[in-house]
Amino acid sequence: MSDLWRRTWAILWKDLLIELRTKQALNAMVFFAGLVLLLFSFAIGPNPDLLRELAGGLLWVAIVFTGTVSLGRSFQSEELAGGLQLMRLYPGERRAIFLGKLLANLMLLLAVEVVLFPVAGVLFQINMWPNAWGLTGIAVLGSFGFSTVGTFYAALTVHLRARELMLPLLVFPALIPLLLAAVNATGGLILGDAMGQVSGWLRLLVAYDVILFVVCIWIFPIVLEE
Amino acid sequence: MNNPFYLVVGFGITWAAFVWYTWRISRRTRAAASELAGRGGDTGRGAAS
Amino acid sequence: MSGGGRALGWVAFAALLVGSFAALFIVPADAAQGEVQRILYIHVPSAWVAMLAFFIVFLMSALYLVQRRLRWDLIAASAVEIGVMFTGLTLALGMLWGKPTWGVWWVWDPRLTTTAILFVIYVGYLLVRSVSEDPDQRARWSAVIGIVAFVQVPVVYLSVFWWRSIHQPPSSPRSMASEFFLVLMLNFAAFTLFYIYLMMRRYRLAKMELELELKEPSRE
Repeated sequence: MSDLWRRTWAILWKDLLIELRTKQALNAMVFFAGLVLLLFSFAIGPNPDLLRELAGGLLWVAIVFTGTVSLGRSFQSEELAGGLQLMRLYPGERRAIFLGKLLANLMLLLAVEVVLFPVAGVLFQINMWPNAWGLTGIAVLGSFGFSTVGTFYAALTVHLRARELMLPLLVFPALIPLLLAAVNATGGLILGDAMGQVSGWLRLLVAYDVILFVVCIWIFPIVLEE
Repeated sequence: MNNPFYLVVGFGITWAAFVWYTWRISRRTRAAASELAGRGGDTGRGAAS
Repeated sequence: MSGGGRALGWVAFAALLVGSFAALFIVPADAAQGEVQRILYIHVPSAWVAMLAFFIVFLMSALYLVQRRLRWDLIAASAVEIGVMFTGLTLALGMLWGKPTWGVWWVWDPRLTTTAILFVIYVGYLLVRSVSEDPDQRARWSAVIGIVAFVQVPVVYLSVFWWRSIHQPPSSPRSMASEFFLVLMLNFAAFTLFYIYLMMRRYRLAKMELELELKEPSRE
């Protein structure tokens, strides 16, 4: 077990170092996410009440789009350098690869959200601070679920033709329960709705995360087979 | 509520789908069968390197 | 195989005919919903067959991953294709029932919405197969997707159901008076027989096409 963690940590560290060294990807992701929010704002129109009501949905769609676009790169650097072959030969657990990549994607996404949520607060005229802890929790749970499913399908589609299309095509339907839960929980907190609803959505979010994580990590070794 | 349009279209496309799909399988099966019969003779002989 | 298969085909075809005839002309119209309710006699069995098909996909996918025999993959692929067709049919019939009943072509009814999501998920399965070239790789990825997709089904349904129940009371459950039960059961049986027949034919085709694929001289 500790072996698994050691390898996971190694992969995670490697990926994060690559990202941090250039910071290119992170900056681009933050910018992209903000741009998506902006685009939606223009599409919906300068109606503050409407935007505030839709804020939860817009935030999470921006997060999903940003995450999906950056997922494609998740295994790409290995693939280009022939690293994926090397990793497969590595006698360690392939599950460590999954876990490491998952956590790397998660950290990147969370870094984007740290900027995105305040930006949304400004754009949509919402004061997020009273709910900061709750929103952080939802962000973490939602992003974890996204990273689980996203990393899984990213590995699966890395060898497919038309990969850029296949990845979102597989990931989006799988994310629907997550999206519903995250959007409603976020919106519920922001709009000050009955707390009862939010906790229910949170439970669904946790259930989704657990179920999908267990299934994905269990099946993952098969995805990497040659 | 009693407009026959919906019933006609509903049962119509159902039967159309059933017939079409069955026929599609038949057609592809026949095509595959004839190609297999045609190929059966020359595998392992001259052609491939 | 052909002899028994052909017989089954005719029996299924006859059963479907009787079922449709009964639904259209024998069963009295529903008091509340009128004539349009007759669509439910084929809409509900269609949904049932789709779910049956996807469950079989799940089983075959698991079997393939354990035994690695392409036969299971071919059965799974056949089931997905047929399942997708019945899912599409379920959606179309659901909409055709919905328009005169609710006044609009689409409502975010939990079951209908889940069906739409399932449609997209399994079309994705078919698309992944179509862009895979190696039969073993294709089988592996398909099996993985087949399993993960099926696991998603209850989660999707629960979340959509919850979502709808918050924003609107759930739409009328499609209950039926017991006298009409017989015709519904008849159609259930007919659809299931037809499904089995289609599976047999489709699987045979899949086997033949795999054989052709493996004979390709370009596979070097």
